[in-house]
Amino acid sequence: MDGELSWSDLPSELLTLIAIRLPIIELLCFSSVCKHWYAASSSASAQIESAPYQQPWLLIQTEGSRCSLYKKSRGNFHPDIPEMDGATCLASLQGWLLLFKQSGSIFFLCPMSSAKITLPQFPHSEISDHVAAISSPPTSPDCIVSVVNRSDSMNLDLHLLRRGEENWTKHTIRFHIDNFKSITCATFYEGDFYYLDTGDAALMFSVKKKSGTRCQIVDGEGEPERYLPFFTTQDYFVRNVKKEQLFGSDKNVFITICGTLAKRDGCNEFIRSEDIRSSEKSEEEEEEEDCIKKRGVWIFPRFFQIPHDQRW
Amino acid sequence: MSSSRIITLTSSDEVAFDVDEAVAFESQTIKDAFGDDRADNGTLLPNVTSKILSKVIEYCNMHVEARKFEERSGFDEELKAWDADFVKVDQGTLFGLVDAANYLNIKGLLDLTCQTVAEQIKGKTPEEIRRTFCIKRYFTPEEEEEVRRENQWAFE
Repeated sequence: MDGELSWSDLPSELLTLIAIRLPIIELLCFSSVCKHWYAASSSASAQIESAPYQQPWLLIQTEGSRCSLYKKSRGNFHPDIPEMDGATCLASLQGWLLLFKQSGSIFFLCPMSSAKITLPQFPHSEISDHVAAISSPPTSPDCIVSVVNRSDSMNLDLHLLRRGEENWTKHTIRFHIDNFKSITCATFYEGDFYYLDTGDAALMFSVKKKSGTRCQIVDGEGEPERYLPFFTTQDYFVRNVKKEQLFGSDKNVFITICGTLAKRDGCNEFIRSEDIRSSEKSEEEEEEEDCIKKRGVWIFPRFFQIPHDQRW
Repeated sequence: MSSSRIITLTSSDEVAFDVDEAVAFESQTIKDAFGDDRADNGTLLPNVTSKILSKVIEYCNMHVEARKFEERSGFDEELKAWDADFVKVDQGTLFGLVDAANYLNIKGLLDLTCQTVAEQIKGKTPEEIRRTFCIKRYFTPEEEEEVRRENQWAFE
């Protein structure tokens, strides 16, 4: 090898070409090598994590700000993310999480970089059965957020916020509890928000028309306008997580996992929210012992950096 | 179609390589420099040694030939396998290839070599990366502390 040249001398633009190909863990290691490499990684965001057919990671809030980041093929990592302490995750989209904290504080967080975008105060100071969906990344000018919860047995409340707006607008939708038992997850697709219950009922809210339509999830047959324009996966956890790898020796863990939309070719896949128990015990047996309840979310971890003065 | 000419590429250590125009033009830099100017038929590449230049020419030769067999089924796989073997080289050569691919603007080779470096980074801690690529630590102690604090969870 020519004695003079070394990898330290590689021009920034070439280092950047390498950095943009790296997945999240490697990108963080890359930027920790030296100052030159750190600078070169500034425009890389682990884009490859969002590529079609990539598997999401599972981010679990373990204790306080301590989290666990897991993927079957990579194992378990333990980042410390202060902003997640005491926060409830309402939605996950392409590396961004929508988080809620006591007394109406609601914001977007990129957990890997801690980039944060604060939203106007949410009308409710506490959340119960609230489920949210995001139309596009919060850095895009046309981002819309919607949060749905049941207000009484006859109606659902949908709170909507568009990028740039200072106030949430409320829409009340008639959907009897008998037909729409409990909202489990939500997503956005081509101008409409979709809210799914535990069964086969769905609410489709058109942002343009500002109105909701009731839908039913059908399998193959049925009228075309009743189809959801994406397919959903119920048991993603079971197929993509090795329990021993994730839980280790923890006996009694109960996790509520927030779902996300995954890119595929042509038709997207919505990974539904799930409740998971670490052990095989029945609900009655579990209540006798201490059950550790945790919250988790499926995420495509990206490293987004935003200007200090980025506003909603 | 006019007959193709031979272009002479001379390395930094003054070794001359005669290549077909088609092969030389895999480099956008050379293509732009020569264009339709038929009078000139050689150039000196002060940034590329003969060792690296011969590898680069080998790559360009293969990929020009490959286009003739594009239609043949299974050829894609064969070419990928050839590329994978091509980059099984020592660190110094790999560095030279990345640098030359960038300077000569050969997109395929640049993608291939950058991807190879990215693959070598996978699974390594920052310290292991420094050892593989012979990088000295260039952070001030304060900077090092901050970077380590932010990212340590990814490599502990």
